Amino acid sequence: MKPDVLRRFSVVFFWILLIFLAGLFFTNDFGLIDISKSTIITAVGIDSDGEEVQITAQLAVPKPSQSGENVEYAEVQGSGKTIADALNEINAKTGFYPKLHFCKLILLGESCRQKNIFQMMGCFYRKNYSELTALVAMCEGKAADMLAMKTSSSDMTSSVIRRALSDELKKSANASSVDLKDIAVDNFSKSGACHMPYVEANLQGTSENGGNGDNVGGENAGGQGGQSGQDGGSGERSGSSGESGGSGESGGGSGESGGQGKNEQKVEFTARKTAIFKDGEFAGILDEQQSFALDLLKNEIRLAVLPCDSEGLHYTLGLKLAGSGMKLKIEDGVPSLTLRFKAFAQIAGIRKPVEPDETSGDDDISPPVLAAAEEEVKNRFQSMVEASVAADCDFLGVKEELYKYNSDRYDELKDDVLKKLRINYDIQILSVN
Amino acid sequence: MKISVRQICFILIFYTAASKFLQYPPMLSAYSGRDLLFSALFGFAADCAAIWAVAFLSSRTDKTFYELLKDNLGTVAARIVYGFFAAFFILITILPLFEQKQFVHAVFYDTTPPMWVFLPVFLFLVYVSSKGFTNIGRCAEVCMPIFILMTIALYAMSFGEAKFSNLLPLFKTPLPQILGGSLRTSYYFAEPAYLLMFMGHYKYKKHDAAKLTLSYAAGAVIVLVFLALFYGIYAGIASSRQFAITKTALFFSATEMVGRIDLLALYVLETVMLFALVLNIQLAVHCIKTCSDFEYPEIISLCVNAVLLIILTVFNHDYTAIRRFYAGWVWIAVILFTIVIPAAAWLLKRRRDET
Repeated sequence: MKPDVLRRFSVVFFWILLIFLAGLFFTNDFGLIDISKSTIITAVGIDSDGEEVQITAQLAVPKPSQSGENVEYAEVQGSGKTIADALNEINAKTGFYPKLHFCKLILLGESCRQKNIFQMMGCFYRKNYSELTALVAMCEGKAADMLAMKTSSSDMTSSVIRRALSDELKKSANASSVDLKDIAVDNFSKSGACHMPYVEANLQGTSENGGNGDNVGGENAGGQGGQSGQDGGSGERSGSSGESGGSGESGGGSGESGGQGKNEQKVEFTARKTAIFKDGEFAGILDEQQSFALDLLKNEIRLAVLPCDSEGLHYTLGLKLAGSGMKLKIEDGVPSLTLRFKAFAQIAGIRKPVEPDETSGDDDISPPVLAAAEEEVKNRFQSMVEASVAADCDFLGVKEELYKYNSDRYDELKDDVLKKLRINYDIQILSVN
Repeated sequence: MKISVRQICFILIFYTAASKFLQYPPMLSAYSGRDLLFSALFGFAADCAAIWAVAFLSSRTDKTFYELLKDNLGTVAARIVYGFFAAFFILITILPLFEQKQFVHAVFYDTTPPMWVFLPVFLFLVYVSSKGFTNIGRCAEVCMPIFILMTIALYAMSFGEAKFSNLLPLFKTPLPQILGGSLRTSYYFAEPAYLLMFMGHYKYKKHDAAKLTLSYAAGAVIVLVFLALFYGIYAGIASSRQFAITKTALFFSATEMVGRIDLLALYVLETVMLFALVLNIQLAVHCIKTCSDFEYPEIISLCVNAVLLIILTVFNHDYTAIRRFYAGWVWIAVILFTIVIPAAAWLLKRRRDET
């Protein structure tokens, strides 16, 4: 039997415990932070400057406001031997230790082509920095300049870039959007290759002709970025970061995207090309058609637009209910890759005057047009495979397929599987009705 | 009887799974790669056999394991064995406790808080550890709906991102490596020892051995599905993703719009993880109480948790070293206490009580 005193003591103990816990609860600040003293990194631009990494962070700065816009956006730059060095500099400038949980975009500048991207971005794969959900893309020119460009639809340039990489565009084969996790999984597979969208800036309201129905973008705004870089905030950043030392403790200025630059030309972004990497090293850029083929093969497509020519007319077909895949077999000692694509098409446009009586038949496409569409898809697949072989970059994941499904032959074939590949195409495009 | 077979079944299903959601998947990925399921299967299969053996032993006697030891080997030997069991339960609590601390600090806080922020958990541990088998059973019943709902939610959010072909090809990892992965993570497998402690505290009925074994198998299936999801999502980088259960639902499309809704499920699931953790301490307290004839479990609980607190404080920054030690050596103790002793228990002479 327990003594009564112990029983009584336990009641008193638990009351003390309850009061103590209540004290802890009500004296805690719950990790709340003063919104007017905080900033959130929404995007990061990475440029390489010799041995150093330049980080341009687009910050969302919350402003207490009764009405209207209550967030301002600014870019702050840091540099150092590693991204962590650069982030530390940003910390010193903003007074807020930058965790990257809200960072939704990582933009690699063209200068990163000379470096191993997994060395440059290693920081994002380490504990507590990032959840690997941020979209990754390479851009033309400097990432810092692209993040400083002005758009008409939002003050937050990174959100406009993210729109060009959106899931909807991915499902329409207009962007090969990937996140940090995707590129790492691909790169650290047996294929040792990955890909990411290549973002281009075009002057707003411009569109170039050509491409036989494929959009080839507008007037290039790459120079505009450099121009604004010299005139506006990003120019200050570039200049001063050049002075930064190896320890990553100096350099960098900050600028606001709100219109300090003299060049007020607005831009829009597209990501219809794809940058490819082998073992983390830049290996080339796929053009729009090759990227389209890659998207058809890798992504779940809801509605893709395919231009094709048949019987002297130009057709634009909408591809729906698409299914795709690839299968690798070893036939007579030769690796044989079958690229499969099946979709249902309907006519979205024909280059001739519309006949109201005929539009009801848009879902019933004639066999020659379907054959032309199949040929077009095949040509794009072919072009994509040729790009892979030419760059010796297995972004399609052929070696991974070989290891998964023919692992007995993996060691024998892994070194030159791309060169030995025999390609088969199983492409079916059918009328919706 | 202090605990029912149904409650033990809940423990074997839900605590088995909840205790393996944090670091077990990345560690197994590091050791066994694409064949992590086989490493896990090996551990589960061995424990399934041990659980069946202990459950079936219960059908032959109404005595507790301590009484069996006392009748066969004498009081002193029984006390020594139970003393070792207490040490074993404390041993297999230490690393999961470190993991809980790191998990809370890394996932529930924006910036790493000081260590004392985690310490209030000891108030919970001291209180719950002082409770007996009746309390253990009731807690398991409370945890049951929480676990089911939250796990379904998290699995559903994770499923779309998983690519199960990442687990192919099968059996390419050398067998010694697969078995090595299983042994190096064996400190997550103490369930047969739990059942040995519950022996004689529940009323065995016909087919209960099958029920208990199947319950453990159900827990194993939950873990195996999670391992497949985790590796299906992260493939070659799985070993670098710490606190696995917090990483799989990140890519759910709705989180883009509404934020980390999976954290709600994780907060709730953390309750079950804590109860799964504290079960080890409860059993350590039970063993010390039984072998020492000391009447006050509250004081034993206080002492055991004080030891854990000291270890946690002294080795606060030595998690990696401790993990390496556990991976290298603790499997010996695990095999002894969860496989060898349950099997050896069959050698003890038993006689079903007539009362």
